[in-house]
Amino acid sequence: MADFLKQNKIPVILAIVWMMLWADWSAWYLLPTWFHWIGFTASSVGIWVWHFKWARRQNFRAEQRRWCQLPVFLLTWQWSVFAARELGWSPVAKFLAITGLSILFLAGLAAAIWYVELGSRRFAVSNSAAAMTDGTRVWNLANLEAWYFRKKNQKLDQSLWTFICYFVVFFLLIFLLTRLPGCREMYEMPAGGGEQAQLQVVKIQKVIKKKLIINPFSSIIFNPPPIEDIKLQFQELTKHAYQVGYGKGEGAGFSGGTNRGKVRFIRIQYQGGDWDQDFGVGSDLNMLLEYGIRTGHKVNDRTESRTISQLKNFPIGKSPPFLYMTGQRGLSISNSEVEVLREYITDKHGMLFADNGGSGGWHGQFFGLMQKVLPKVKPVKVPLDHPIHTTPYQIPFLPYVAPHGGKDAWGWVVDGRLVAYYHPGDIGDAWADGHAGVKREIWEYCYQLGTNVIFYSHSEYNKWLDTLQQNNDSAPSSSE
Amino acid sequence: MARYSSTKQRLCAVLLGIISLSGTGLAQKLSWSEQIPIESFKGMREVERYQMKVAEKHYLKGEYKIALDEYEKFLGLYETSSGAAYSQLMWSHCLVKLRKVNTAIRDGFQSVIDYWPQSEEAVMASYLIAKSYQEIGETKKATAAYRQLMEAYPDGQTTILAKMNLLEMAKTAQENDTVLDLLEELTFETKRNENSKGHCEQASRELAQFYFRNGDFANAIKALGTTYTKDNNLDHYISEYGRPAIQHLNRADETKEKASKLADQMIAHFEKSIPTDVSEDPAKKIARDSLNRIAATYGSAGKKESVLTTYERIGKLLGSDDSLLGQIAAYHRGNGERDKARDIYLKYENQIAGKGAIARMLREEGKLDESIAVYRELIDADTSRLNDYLWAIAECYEGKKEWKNAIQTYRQIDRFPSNYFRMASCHRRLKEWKEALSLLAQCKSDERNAPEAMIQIAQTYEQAGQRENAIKAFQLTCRTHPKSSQASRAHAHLQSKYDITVTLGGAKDE
Repeated sequence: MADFLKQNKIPVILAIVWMMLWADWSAWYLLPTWFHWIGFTASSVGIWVWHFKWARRQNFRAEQRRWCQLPVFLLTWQWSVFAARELGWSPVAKFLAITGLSILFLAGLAAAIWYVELGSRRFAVSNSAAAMTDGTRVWNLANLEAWYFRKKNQKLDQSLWTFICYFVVFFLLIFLLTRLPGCREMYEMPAGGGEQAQLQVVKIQKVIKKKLIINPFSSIIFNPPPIEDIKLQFQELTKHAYQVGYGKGEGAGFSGGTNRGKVRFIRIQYQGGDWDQDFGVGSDLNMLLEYGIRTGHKVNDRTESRTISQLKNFPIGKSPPFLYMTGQRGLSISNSEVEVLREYITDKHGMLFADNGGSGGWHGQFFGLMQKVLPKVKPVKVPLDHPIHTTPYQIPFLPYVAPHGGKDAWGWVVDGRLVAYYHPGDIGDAWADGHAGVKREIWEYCYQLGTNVIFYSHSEYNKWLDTLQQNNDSAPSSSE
Repeated sequence: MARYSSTKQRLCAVLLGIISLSGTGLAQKLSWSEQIPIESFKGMREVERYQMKVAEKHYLKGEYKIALDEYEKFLGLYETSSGAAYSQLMWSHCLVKLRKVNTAIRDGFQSVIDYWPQSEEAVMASYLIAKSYQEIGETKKATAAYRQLMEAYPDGQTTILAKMNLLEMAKTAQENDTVLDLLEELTFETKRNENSKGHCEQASRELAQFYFRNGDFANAIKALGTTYTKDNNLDHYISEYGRPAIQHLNRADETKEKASKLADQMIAHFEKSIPTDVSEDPAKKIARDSLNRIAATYGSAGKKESVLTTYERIGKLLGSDDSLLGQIAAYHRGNGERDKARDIYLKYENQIAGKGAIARMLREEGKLDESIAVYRELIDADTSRLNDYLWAIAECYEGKKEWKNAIQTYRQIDRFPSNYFRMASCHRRLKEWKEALSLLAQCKSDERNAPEAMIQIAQTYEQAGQRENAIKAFQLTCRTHPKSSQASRAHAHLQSKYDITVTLGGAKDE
């Protein structure tokens, strides 16, 4: 073992470095992205250099040479997946991940068959009868005399068992590796930039020059001046003049985001009621897709749900900027869940977007929940000129499907930031297919309001990330 | 309409108000912060007053968009008028009503301060900026604005309001030190006048409660003493606020000693109030009140035996009556000694009241047959409350699940539509759907109860297994009474149970 490590120092070190980076990239989130780029690229280049400069010059057997190609393939494959994800090429990353996994599976299967066949031939050549006479059971898969093979179809059984064993081991390994991060999750916003400003509508102002009307039959001779045409003039900027987002960056998005980041729509699962009212395709997804279309931000292709306890799995700085919750029946939240929600709102800078799905009772229960979560904060009616109602869309009045909890939006404000937004009138129903039969104007405003809430939460989250970054940057200088 | 600062001005304001606003009958509806200062009003010309009146008329009708335009028109036409600042202030009020609070602060109230800094309206605008910040949850900005206002106008009425609002915010944020400071300032340091009196009194009561909860009897008395005297409810408020504090302190082992000490101090205080000569009625009343407070204090401190002893003392000193017997009976009921309580009720001078109390007690005990029998006796003895007794009997039958008897009894009561709803409910229990529906259909005739009747009809159909009729009835509830809470329930039920969406009209631009 010591000899092996001594001979293969470089690939072993590279493998350890690479594994640490991979664990950080997928689970720990401690190192910055540029560090991952450098680390992964250096590991991949290093393994290629090792392969060409050292491994190929060694007097290896063909079999050993093939084994040397394995780390080269693994690192290169993972680097390509990493690069595609970081560059935001999601379909490419997906394709590379699946293709690489398939190649690995097939190559591994081929290797397994080759080794079993090799072993089988060795056993056939050697005298295995002694084992039989010993009366001991043969377990080795490569040995055709293994006790679990049928007498008539030993070769077929060997092939089948080889495949089954390989299949189980391969997917067990994959399962274990993908579970390596444990239950940790992360949320990343889409990279980019933009302005937190109101969308302006193009208004064309008619500028009409004064006209002189002259009676052609007048006895007085006029020298009529030329009558100018009406001029059309753009008085305001069009909405294309800027992009919806926050901070400096290319394309619409957020300066604190990443290329692989996407806006996701996560719903809270809770006990005691119908948290899943209009869940998924046909409602939440409609809203998420509309958000993507309206803002140009990258959005996930499906909606998700998490229990309140699962929110603990998101680390600070990589947690969802907003969570949606709705229902019309009971709302049973334990004290530990209240703690998790409080941590999510205050420490992780998240925001709750609650929607009364159909009862006055839920209104009271949600307010009761917020009283527990934020006992020192009083709910207030959110004014119509609050940024959540004006950016990017100007909402002239609160749109609702049915006023289950009144006609006003309520908010909980902490340090000038809305940490919870309560919609009293089943906005989720307006997003759903069929729009609950309300007029087009109303459901259009409902989509606009949903867009505003999602955008507000992400912008505020981005501001907070910026502040954290600035504090980190200024920390050493201030200590100096 | 106007804010007054002296008696002379008040008279003037009344006269001018009567002259200018006679016929409208709406001036009273303007709140304190919306009234025009007398000086501004005096300086306005008739034509300006007319324009202001037009704007105000719309404002009071709740037509805030129109009012906004009218106030703006005033500003455009009479920019130099003495009412311009007020018009700008009201323009901002309109924006607040239209739920555009940030714009009101930025473009409205701030403009009043910028353009008319010396005016009375500017003081009000400063207050309203702070208040508006508070109402939208911007507590830090609100606190800063209130503090600034208090510094700039220390004697104004707005300063008192600022302190009260700061107190409210500090209570919400659970900043106990700030709460205590503000309460002490309002109770002991603020000069009490017509405007501040009510707030200072409220603060003194809250401060007393705070001290009581800390077992500090002397300071609590001191705080209450700024507002009440011995002859004017002081003992009443000591008892009112002291007893909950004793109960609160009694809950934890470490504060039980404090609770006991506080109770002893309070009892000693009340003992001093008992007159030595109780031959006159006023003295009797004082003695009775004081002894009752002593008994209640013993009760809060958990000294039950002393409660009974005190009641006996009242009996010996002042003689027994139904009120005292009622208190003793309640004491026994509280101890689970119901037989003793019943014996005492039988001693009532007012036999009907005594029997009524026995019937209620029997219902509580679940002895429904006996309770019904007593109620029947009461019907014979006192016909003036026939409906009440029958209602109680019907509820007893419902408790016994004797639905038919309950229906028969409800039928005898003249209390439409409540009894019809109850009868329908009993019929539903008996699965007599037609009868239930027929009764509910009659309830529908009462406009106020129609939405409830309709949703119950739908629920009855649903219970009867008539799915289509149930859906139709739920939909009808949504269509005919879209703004009622029943429509909201029907809407949600249709969606969750039948996956049917019905529109309730959605939002409107209001």
